[in-house]
Amino acid sequence: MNPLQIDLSGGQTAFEPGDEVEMTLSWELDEAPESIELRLVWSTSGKGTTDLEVVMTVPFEFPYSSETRRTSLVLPASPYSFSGKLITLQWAFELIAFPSEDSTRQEIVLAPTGSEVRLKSLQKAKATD
Amino acid sequence: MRACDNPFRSDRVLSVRYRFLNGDDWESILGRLDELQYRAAIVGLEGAGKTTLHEELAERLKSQGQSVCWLRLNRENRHLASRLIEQAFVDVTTEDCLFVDGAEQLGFWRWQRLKRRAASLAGLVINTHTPGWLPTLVQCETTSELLHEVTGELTPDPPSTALLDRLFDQHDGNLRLCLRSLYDLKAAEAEA
Repeated sequence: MNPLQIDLSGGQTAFEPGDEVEMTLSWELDEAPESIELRLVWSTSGKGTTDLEVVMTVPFEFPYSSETRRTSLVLPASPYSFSGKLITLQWAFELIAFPSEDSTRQEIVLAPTGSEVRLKSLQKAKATD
Repeated sequence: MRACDNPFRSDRVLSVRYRFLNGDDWESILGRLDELQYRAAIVGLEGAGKTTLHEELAERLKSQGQSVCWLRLNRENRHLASRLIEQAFVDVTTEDCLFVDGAEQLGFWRWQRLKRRAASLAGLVINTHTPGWLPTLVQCETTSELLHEVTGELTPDPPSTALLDRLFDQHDGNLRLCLRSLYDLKAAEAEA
């Protein structure tokens, strides 16, 4: 089992831009880390090179080896979670302990409808118009 | 199919480790590098795994306490080569090995100058398309069997042997291009 955990309030993983996300963070490490950091990131994957951006960082100073903390943050307006044939953009929370760099990741969807925007190929889009 | 579900997406392809052919292994490679006094070239055609091997070599050396400084050159940044070399020599110390990715992007004179400047460094390891720049550490080669093996690692449902052999021939053994074609084929197959 991963020694770090991110539990989103109510188990919700799909959000709209500007939503406030509440979560419980817990860790159970062998030694007290120097610091723990929660990151909100988006990354792309697909045929081309991967892009990654850390949008927000919440540091937790002087953590004990085992702890549970609650926090909340407001999601940005964009970019939306989307997926097509060539590229997918995914949002995630990452909790990282330093210096060990133990980490965990919780993927989320950020889009106006709360579900990932699906890009159609031009041919298919024309056919359905 | 979502791009992130395609088994041939770039982050998965990049996670494939270099496979030695011709009976080499890390012990023999590191021994040879030591014999060559850390001045050597990884040679091979495009898509033969030169950069993959180079990066794995950097990790090996780092884990042995050897610091490595990278100079990465490609067709897109070759016009900035002078500036990138200057930047690399600002960052590098005599304790470091300089790793040059894409050394073929340097012209003859620029390469000679770089080699001279790097003489005081702990090492100079380059990758390039043709031999003759520095003593060859590894000659990277590909085979269609290697493409089969890599494909099998990426997907439990690999394409037919005939298709893989055809792709291998079509791309002149460039595995990177073969895997990109497989990405497109998988996406098209899912769409159909």
